[in-house]
Amino acid sequence: MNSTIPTEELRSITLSVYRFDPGKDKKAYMQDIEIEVPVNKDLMVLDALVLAKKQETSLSFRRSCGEGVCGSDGMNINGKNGLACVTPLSEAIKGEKLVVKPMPGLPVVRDLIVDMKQFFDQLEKVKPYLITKDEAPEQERKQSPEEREKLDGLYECILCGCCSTACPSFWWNPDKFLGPAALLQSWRFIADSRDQATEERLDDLDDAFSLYRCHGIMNCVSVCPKGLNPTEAISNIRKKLINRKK
Amino acid sequence: MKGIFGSGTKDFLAVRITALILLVYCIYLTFFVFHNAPISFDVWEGLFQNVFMKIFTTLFLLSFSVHTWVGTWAIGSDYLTIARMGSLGPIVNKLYRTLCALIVGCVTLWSLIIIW
Repeated sequence: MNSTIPTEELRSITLSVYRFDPGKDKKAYMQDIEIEVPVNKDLMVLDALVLAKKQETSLSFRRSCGEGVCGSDGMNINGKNGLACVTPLSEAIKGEKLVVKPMPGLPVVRDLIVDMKQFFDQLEKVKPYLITKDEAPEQERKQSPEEREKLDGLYECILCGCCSTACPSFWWNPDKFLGPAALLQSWRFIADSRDQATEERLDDLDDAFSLYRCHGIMNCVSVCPKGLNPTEAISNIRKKLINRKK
Repeated sequence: MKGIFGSGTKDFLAVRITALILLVYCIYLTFFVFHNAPISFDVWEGLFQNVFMKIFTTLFLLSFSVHTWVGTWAIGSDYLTIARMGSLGPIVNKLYRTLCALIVGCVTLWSLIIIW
């Protein structure tokens, strides 16, 4: 029986979902699930998945806030990574079919859930926290409005993983290339006037893979649900490396 | 992995600077060919008898070697790895690097012998 939500007019769409249960399945497969959605009201992809889960209760995916803040429901929606909770069905759907797969490049735990360990391991390498050498002031470490402005477009990252898992360089070398999300965070702290470990941070990035494996493909920019620009951050780190006297 | 020249930045600069030299050489040669069209054997031989052109071509060949060596190494370390090819990866990569070294080395050396 198809699941419905209360509304006057409904239309049927097909959700083609990637399914894989390591305890049961030898191979992953795509399952078509018919759901009914309102004609005159737009739903988000996450709503469609919730409707599908009413029929296929074993369907698994991560979700939490449902409003693009927590970054839990990153997935591949009709070939493009994005957050299911902020991707309108009307934008994502082609015809009457919506294909949903887990984010590429990371091991699948089950259905749409991926193991993010590799992603967070890379993030950890850039030391995503303020490093200071001076003694802590009595109150906060101050910044001028101009210095603070430099962090706009950097601090907003929610670590959903959409960018890194859309990056071919990350697919090829996920253990060596840090990936756009980690590099955006790296620049966020290099650009921070309060941080005092710029040289160490740059030293850590100056190998053949960590940073320089970025080929400027810009998939990261195209998929970022927060509209951030990791390629620009990577380019800024590169300029900083080239211009330093070493 | 520190890269071919000891750091990622040095590799990056090596590829970009040599690319610029290759581009300038190609533009110069294209301009020369069109400017002297229809080109004869004497004109072509005259061009490469010129010491400036010999040095410029040597610079081009060295840039070609560096650019190709770093570039092909990067391609190999993306595709010919354990992650993508299993245990065969390192062996295929070694063969590929040897082939690249042979081609780049022979082309450069042979060209230098012809030029000088």
